[in-house]
Amino acid sequence: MAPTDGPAPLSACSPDRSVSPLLEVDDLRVEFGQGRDTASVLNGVSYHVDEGETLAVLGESGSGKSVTAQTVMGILDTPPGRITGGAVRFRGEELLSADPERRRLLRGESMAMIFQDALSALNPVYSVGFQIAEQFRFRRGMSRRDAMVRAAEMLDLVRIPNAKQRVREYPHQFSGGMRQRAMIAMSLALDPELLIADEPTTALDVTVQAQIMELLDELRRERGMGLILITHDLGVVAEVADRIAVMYAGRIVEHTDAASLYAHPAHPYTRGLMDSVPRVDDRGRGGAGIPLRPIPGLPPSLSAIPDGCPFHPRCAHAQDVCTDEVPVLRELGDAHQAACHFAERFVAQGPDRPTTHEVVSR
Amino acid sequence: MTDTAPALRPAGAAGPEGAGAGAEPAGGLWADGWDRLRRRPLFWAASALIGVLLVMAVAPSLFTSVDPQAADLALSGADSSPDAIFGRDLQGHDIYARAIHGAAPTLTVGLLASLGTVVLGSMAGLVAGYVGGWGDSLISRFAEVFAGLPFILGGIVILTTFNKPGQIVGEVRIVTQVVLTIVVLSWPLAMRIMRAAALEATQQDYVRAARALGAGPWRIVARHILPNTLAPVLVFATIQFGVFIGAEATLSFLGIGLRDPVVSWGVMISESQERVADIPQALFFPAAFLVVAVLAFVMLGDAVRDAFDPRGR
Repeated sequence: MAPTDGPAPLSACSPDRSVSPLLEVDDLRVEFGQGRDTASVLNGVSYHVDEGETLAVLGESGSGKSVTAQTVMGILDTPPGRITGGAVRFRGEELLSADPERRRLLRGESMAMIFQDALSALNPVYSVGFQIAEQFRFRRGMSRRDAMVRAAEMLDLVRIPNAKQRVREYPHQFSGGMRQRAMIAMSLALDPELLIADEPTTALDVTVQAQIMELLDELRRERGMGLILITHDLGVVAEVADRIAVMYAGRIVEHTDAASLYAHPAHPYTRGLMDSVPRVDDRGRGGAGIPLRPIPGLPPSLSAIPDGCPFHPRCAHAQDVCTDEVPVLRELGDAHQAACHFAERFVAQGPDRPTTHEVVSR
Repeated sequence: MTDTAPALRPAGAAGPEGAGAGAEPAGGLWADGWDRLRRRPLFWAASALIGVLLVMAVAPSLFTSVDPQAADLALSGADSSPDAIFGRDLQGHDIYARAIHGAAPTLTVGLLASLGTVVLGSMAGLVAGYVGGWGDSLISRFAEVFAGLPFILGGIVILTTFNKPGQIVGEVRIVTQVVLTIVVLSWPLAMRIMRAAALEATQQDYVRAARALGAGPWRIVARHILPNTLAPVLVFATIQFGVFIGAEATLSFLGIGLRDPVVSWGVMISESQERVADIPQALFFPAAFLVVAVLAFVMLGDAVRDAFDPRGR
């Protein structure tokens, strides 16, 4: 990115970078609704992903993770959504102002997305192979037969046993994990450089979750593609993410590499997320276990985001300055950024419970 | 795709991963529906009746060699005899021969009206449901104008505008007019069903996923939305087939629909009205044919709905 790129306050996300990253989201702002009911869903989100890198976007429901992803893909429903500012650049090419046909051609070819519920993301009236083959037929001009052969190869690639036979089966004949694999095969058919996985494992049971994450990680490494992993599950990202961006109320509140996030969480929200993970070593007195430690309260209504720090009503460490001043995402050194007035203090403290990282990533 | 799928699936492919498919033969939506459909006696009974009616319409000479227009006033109102087993009407026509020949125009009107209603209504509903916003509002309000017209009143207004009462018009012309009248007054029903289905399908993740993989709007509508919305509209069409046969009879009875020289069951019922007490067979037999035909199509529609309606599963 050129250093003369204007006064974007958060461009510090990609410091001293001479080549443009694979994907760069810059100060993205999205609103839903009209007039007094306007919900500010994204309030200046910036992040970037490089080739072969995994960025995890972490946050509660309604924090704007998926809306960011949909805006990047260009599949945000407008209306009700409205992009009010910011930029999305793919290999330096600005997308938000690009021709819709150009964007359509990029989808599938250069960037693809997988969804949380793979059953509803697969069309029930076509066989799985047919849906994968469609892309080879219409984007690569293959014959029906050749495309089906390629579809079977794709199923094989995502480790679906008996791919040659299963390619003829329908989505409802697949188990949950198999469906998500099929969905991954479908999105990787045209060999995209960027894959956005929107809560790919949320609908799956724990053992299958691990398999799918492993598969995504392997495919990313083999193909050198950028991966954006959207999740609310700290356990899921611990092993695979290179960098983690924590979102709250449509903002990035903390952004750093995975190791330092677990070692030195700088934002009280991040600390809260880590604390709320149930842990096997929480014995308490007499082995009865201790109560879960959720973050108190609810995420703010996006049509009435509190003044000052959006997290202050739920924050145990809130001071006067937190209700008055919006903390900006600022550099804490070592590519660690956080949007908290007292970030330095928290970084120095380390996590509340020092073993979180090991436990979570086990 | 659908029909070749079961043959290519090896035995026991359901396997440990085959989520819930179990012993049920499992194919696509259509194959599943057909599997359920053919196990219903109601479907076969309705199909058999409709089969007979269709043969009657296509080849009436298989059932009778009597000319339906042959009238012998000397035999006016004659009771049933080996000559004319259902008896004769006021003009001395053979009621049996006329009832057999009445199948073709009646079924033609029913078929064309269902087809027209479904094609017009589906296209409008698909556009409304997919485009949404002001396009949806425009189409929906426009449809409400037609849906708001009472069927009989609308039919009288349209048909009397084109033909003076009692005017003799050609067969093709009057059939076309009756079909168009029914289509114009009924398409909003099909449109609403299609619109609802399209609205639902448009929100589905597979449509979003198709967009995320770069499918254009035409491909999304044709390949992803249409196949998932067709079932309810087809069910509607089957049931409406029976209803439209009744509607044709109503218009004919009022003297504004099909008329002599076209012979339909509605025309026969209409002609019988002056002397019902004296010649009841002239009313009874065409009415019986009509009731059986309507029943057969409504039964078929019911069976199809039970087989294809996802909520029934």
